[in-house]
Amino acid sequence: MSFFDIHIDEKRFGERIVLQHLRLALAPGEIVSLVGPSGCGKSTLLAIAAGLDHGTPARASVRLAGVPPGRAAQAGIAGGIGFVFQEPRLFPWLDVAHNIAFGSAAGQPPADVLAALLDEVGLAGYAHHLPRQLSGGQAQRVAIARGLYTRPRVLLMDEPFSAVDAITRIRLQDMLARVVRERGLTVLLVTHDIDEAVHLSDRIVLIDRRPGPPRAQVPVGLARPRARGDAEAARLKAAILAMLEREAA
Amino acid sequence: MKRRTLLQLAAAGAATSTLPRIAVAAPLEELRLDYAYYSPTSLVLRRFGWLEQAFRADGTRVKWVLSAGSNRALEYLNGNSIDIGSSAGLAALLARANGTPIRSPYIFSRPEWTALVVQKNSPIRSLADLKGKKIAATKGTDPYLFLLRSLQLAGLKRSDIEHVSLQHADGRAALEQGKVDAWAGLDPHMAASELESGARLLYRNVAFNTYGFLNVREDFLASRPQETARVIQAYEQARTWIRAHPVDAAKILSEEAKVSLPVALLQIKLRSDFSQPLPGNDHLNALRQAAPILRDESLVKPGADLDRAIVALVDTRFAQPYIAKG
Amino acid sequence: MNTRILDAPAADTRRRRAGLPLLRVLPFVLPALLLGGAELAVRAGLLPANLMPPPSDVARTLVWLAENGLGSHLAASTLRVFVGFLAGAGAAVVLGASVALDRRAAALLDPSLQALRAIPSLAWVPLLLLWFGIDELPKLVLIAIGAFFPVYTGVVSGFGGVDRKLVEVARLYRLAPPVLVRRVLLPAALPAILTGLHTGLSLAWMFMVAAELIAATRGLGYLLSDGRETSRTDIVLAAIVLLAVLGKLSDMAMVVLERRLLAWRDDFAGSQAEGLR
Repeated sequence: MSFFDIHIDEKRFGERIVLQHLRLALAPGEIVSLVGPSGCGKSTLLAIAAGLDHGTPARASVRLAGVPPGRAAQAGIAGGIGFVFQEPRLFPWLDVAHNIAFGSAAGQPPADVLAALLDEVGLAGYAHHLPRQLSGGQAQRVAIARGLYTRPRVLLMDEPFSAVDAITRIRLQDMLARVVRERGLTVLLVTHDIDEAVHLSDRIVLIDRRPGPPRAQVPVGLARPRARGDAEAARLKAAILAMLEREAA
Repeated sequence: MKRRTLLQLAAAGAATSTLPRIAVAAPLEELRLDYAYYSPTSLVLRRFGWLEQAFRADGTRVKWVLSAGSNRALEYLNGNSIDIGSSAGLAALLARANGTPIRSPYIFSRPEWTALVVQKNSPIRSLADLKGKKIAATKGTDPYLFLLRSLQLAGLKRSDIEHVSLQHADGRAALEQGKVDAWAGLDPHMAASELESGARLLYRNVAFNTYGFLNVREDFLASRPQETARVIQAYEQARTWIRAHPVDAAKILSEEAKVSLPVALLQIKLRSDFSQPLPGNDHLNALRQAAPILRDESLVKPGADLDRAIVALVDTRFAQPYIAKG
Repeated sequence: MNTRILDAPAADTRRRRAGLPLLRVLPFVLPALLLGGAELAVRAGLLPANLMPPPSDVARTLVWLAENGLGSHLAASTLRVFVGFLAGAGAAVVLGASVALDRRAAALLDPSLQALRAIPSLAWVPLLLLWFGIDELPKLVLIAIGAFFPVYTGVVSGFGGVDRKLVEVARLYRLAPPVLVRRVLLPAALPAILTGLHTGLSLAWMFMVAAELIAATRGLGYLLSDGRETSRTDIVLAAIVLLAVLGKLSDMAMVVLERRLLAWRDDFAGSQAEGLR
């Protein structure tokens, strides 16, 4: 039995079937990337996993340690599931501290918890900044801190670094890798950046536009810490690109 | 038309044609004057079209504007929307003292057209009872000034009552609906209220009514004396006709003001005097007696010279040649 | 070459510093020109004094009014605006929120309210006079009607315009609907709501004047019509000046409120205030 299990029988939007007979099983601490062309339903899959799905309800089941995520706390898994969107989506009227702790009733996190978290994402001293004072990269760090605030065991990320420039992206990827390792998080990451998938993941899942099981599941056995520009990584990337092109043709 | 009227028409026509032809720049394009339900003469004049006849040769258009009260007539005169307007004498003095550039060469009637009115069953019995009550009156008109002068008799000031400013017809409605305790009324509305709802005249005082003044803009009088004279002559025509045909005049008033015939008759026969059209000492004295209220109630600017305003307003000589005999 | 680059910022700030006193003086230039020009024109006989009293006259009248009961007129008008605005804005917030958040309430209320909105304000006057008489009630109702529609529109469009992406974040936290409204929708809609309140307040002043022209015994509108009926153009202008001043003061109060509540906004006006142009 896996730690985090997503099983989708069927998901429609109106008449169109988007996802069908798709199963993803993540082991504890595993980092999985979902890669595929646009419109293949990877964001929809993530939404279903997070309980954010809209429209016609999917015929699907999501299990965290064998129970529905809502009841995971009773099974001893506190913290729920963290989620990071493509845009930071910070509440502009709240400062960094209040945005991070939005889920809690107290409003503002205890000072030491906040300081540690900000340190972790590289934003020490930014607790009382307003979102409009932050750069894109800084805002996304806050979003990640928000996702981590409840100390979840599972982190879902929907193209979290696609909205920032290349240099910031590298810095954020490194930060994420460190955080995930230190916390032992299980991560499902949707991305269209093959380099990113290869650099970060333990396994890459390729999704088709045709609804159905994944086209391929590619294990990434590279040793950590991973350097960029590695020859093995490049070969892996080429192979994956070839697979995607075949599907497109 | 009666033979006498025909003769009068002929006389007026002859008189007009014998006016000295002073060299004027150009014929007047448009003559703008008012008509009002409190000036039956103006209604008669408008009905018979004598002004239009008098000015047809010159190609002058005649534009009639309804004045809902002295306040409106004076406002239109001040803003140069009309050249000739009808108002109560005291109201004209107030306007003149506050800078409106008018002169009054003609009196269109001596009416007893205002009084303080209460409802049939009102507990108010004397002027002193008015203290603290709600009284409707149209600001800047004779009824309003009548109210202030009456209050003064009982030792009251404007601030001792609650003055509600409504135009004459609305004031009547407010009284009859019980929204105000008293109303400074004006004919024909006042007569209508008496006859139709049984309203009672709480206080009357003929001496407090300050005549119907026909006011002319100063610049119009100075630049168009001939045309002004013709208007006065036409007014004389109407005045003479009214004195000869009071019932027919009442019919015209009744139709124009949309009041019943008995109401119109009350206004014309019992409460209007058309015998003294030329402004004279009587009128000057009436204004002098009334003037202090303007100062006491701060209706004029502090330091206004009312005596000078009276002299500047009343023109006792202009109309003399045109007054019809009788 | 390098020294020139280093010099540039200093010159820039110097120029900016010199510009600041000018910015403080500029708002007064036009009024001063107009008032001075009017005074001279009337004194020279170019403008007739019965149509345009010289500003010095109006100033004298203001002083006279201040010594003769102006306070009660100001209080009457301000109180009417205050009460009418609270009533109208309050109703608008309640109805607007219902319409924005509940589809059935929207279907029930919005079409009728939009139809009523089309009625020009002064068309209400005869009806209000008939139903409510000539005392305070028809005036307050008229003012409330005036304040209602801008606030209603602000509330509805404010809630409707909330970024769907923010609402999705709130869904992650499984917030109960009332909590969602309070913690997410309301703050997000606040800019539009405040704009609506601001406009509603300006309209409340306008409608107050219209209401006092109906049949008042005190107030600035009463002074206005008093001046009109007695050919005291100086009183008319004095009343207008006072209305402008009061309107401006309440406007400034709204701006202060907006600035405090919306300090988090990221827009051009805000960056201007910080000198980050």
